[in-house]
Amino acid sequence: MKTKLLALALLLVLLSAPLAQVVYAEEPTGGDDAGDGTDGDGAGDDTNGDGDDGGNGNIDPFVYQQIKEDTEARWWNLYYLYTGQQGDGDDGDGDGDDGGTGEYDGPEIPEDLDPELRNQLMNAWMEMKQAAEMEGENLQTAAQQHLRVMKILRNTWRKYQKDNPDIVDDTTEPPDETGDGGEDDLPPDPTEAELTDIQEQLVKRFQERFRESVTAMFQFYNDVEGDLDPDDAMKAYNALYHTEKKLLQIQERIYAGDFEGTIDDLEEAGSDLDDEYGDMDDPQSAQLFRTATKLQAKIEKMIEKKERKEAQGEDTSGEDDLINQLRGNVDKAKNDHKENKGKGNDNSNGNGKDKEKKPKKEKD
Amino acid sequence: MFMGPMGRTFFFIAFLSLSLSTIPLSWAQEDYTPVSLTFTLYSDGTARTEYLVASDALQARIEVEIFGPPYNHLVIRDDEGNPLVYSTEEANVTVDSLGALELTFTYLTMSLTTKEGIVWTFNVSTPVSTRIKLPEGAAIFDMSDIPTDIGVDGSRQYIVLEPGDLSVYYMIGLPDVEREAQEALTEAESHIGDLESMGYVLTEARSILSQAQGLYDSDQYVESKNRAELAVKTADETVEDAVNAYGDIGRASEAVSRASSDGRTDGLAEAQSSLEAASTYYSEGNYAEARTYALQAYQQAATAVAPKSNSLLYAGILLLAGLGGGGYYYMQRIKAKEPPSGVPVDSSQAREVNLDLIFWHHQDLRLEDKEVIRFLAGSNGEAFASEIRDRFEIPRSSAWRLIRRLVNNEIVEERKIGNQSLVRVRDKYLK
Repeated sequence: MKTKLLALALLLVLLSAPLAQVVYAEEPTGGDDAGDGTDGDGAGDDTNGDGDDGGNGNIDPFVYQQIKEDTEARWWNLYYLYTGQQGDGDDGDGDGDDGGTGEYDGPEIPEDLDPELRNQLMNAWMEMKQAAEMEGENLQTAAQQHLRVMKILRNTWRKYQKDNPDIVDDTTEPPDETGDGGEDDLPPDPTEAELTDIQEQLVKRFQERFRESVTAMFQFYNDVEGDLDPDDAMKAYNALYHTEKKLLQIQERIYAGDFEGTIDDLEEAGSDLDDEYGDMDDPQSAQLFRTATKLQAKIEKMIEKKERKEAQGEDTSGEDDLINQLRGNVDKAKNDHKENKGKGNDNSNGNGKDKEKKPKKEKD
Repeated sequence: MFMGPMGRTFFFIAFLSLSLSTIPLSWAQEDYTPVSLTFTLYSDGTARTEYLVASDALQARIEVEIFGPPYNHLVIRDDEGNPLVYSTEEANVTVDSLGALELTFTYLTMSLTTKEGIVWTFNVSTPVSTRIKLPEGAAIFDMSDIPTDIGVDGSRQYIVLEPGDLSVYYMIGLPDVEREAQEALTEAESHIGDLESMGYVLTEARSILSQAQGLYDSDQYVESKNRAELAVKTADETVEDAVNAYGDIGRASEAVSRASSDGRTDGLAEAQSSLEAASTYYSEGNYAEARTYALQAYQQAATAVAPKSNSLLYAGILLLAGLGGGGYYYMQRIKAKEPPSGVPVDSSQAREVNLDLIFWHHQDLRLEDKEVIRFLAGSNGEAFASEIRDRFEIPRSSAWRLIRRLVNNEIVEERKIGNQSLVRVRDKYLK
């Protein structure tokens, strides 16, 4: 019975785990809601919460300082806007009345201001002060507190906007900005002719690299053939053989200037190669060939890039390093596979007969 | 191992649920890997997106999910900068990547931002750390989480947020009190300078403007702006006082001349003295005192009486000669400050105004100026300033400014009739 209860408890915990984020995301801003009925603007309208991240957090002190300054600036912006008084970034001189709370010590907020706005401004001020007091203990929590203040201020703004549509209109003039819609920052779109021309070059180069990769993979096959189950070795060989054949057919069309459908065929060739690797009985061997083929494709790409840079007289040491690193990765994959096999971790049927079988390679 | 069949079932279900919770991670394994994402926001709500993904050198074609369809100016380039062919379906873009190692997506979208008043909201779900550059002049007003970086890039504030459901709120067009104060100071300086160039002495307005500048220098922008506006108002009121004082002095001068010509020399010396004091105060810019003394001079001249003996008569003649000289001297001074002499008032003469000619000569006239000209045309080409104020229900200072504009444009001329200011369309605009 105890075991069942334990299992049930574990089950409930596991099932509820994915909901944790949802609950987190819906946490309100605390007791600071403006209460104007306009609070809550949908998904994503909250920080991750209560600042209780456990520990000092890893927030950059500079980032914290910026958040703090932005929050305080918004407070003063709105204070000025709501009261028509000076908002000079002064830290408060303690001349503000407490509004009955006995705590507020910011600048004086006129009595004739809407009571809700007045209270929220005072709340926000006090929360900013609390955040400042928390700085020494937990910067992350202090930062979260400042974000809570921003939410309070945003709520006051909604109410103010609702109550004072005319004044809001007066403040909605956006500043002049060159390239207002961002279009000026974009380079001109390539023309259709340009795209077609470039695409034909890229198709040709891709086909060549693909073929080079497959050629290199035959060598790879020879290196690892002894470590493969004979059936898998045959499947790997045939996969490469089929792909090479398809690539040669595509190459003939490209050389004849017929690019129609070549990308589809190249995509299909890659997909078929992956599928044929997938037919191998040993998943590790299949994964080895997949990984090696991808690495080889990347090596071919880097070789091509290196040759192009060499032709332009540019430094190619970066490409050399990367090519060596990729080749090292191929060797490592090969060795890891060999070691795994050596430890008897093979997925053959274990009767030893398969080891003797030579792969039946297809003839053209 | 010590568990019954039921217990094993529970643990199986638990394991299954745990496995299911990892499915999104499996789905996330695509043919590409997001590397970086930057949104540059503009003040019209456009977001310029730059999305960099690492791709597979073996892939001829890949499908990438991008953010915020519909989009404009989508351009995809490979790691060599070559533009690539693509097709789109909603947020999915199928790119003929042809073995590219990296793909850069650049496009514009307006579907990631919404606006409420002056507050903009930017919402996006991203798989990679995301840099968001706010529009120029925008101020952050909230964000979904604490950023990993924040700063200024050129004239734009930016934040960097961890991947997830991101929201950033920002405001554009917050009242710029410093700029408003600066504008008020500039406007006040210009206005007061214009009036001073017309000969008015605006000591008090200058003093207030100086205070406004001091407040601005000490970063008290709101007070500075208020003071600058007060300086303008004070200048206008002072000019109004000056105009009234000018009229009062003229009236007093006429009264003194009349008393002199009537031989009412008893008390005339006091009137002349008051008139001179009024003139002095006027030239010093003390228009209130000038009015007081002008009124006093007027009353003294009005109450002056003829002498009762011959000796007094002779003395009166001598005084009259003196006053005549003084009056001539005073009138010369007044004329020096006065616009060109006007047309004698003769209301019996019909004055038909050529409106077409005025409007043709002055095509940039304000609407209210044209209305006043039409009103003058309908009033035999002339009207008192008070009539214009009453007719258009405008304050004294506004009426004064309007009339000054018409005078400066040489459309009308202004004459003092007693304590009143008569505005007349110039002869050149009569039919």
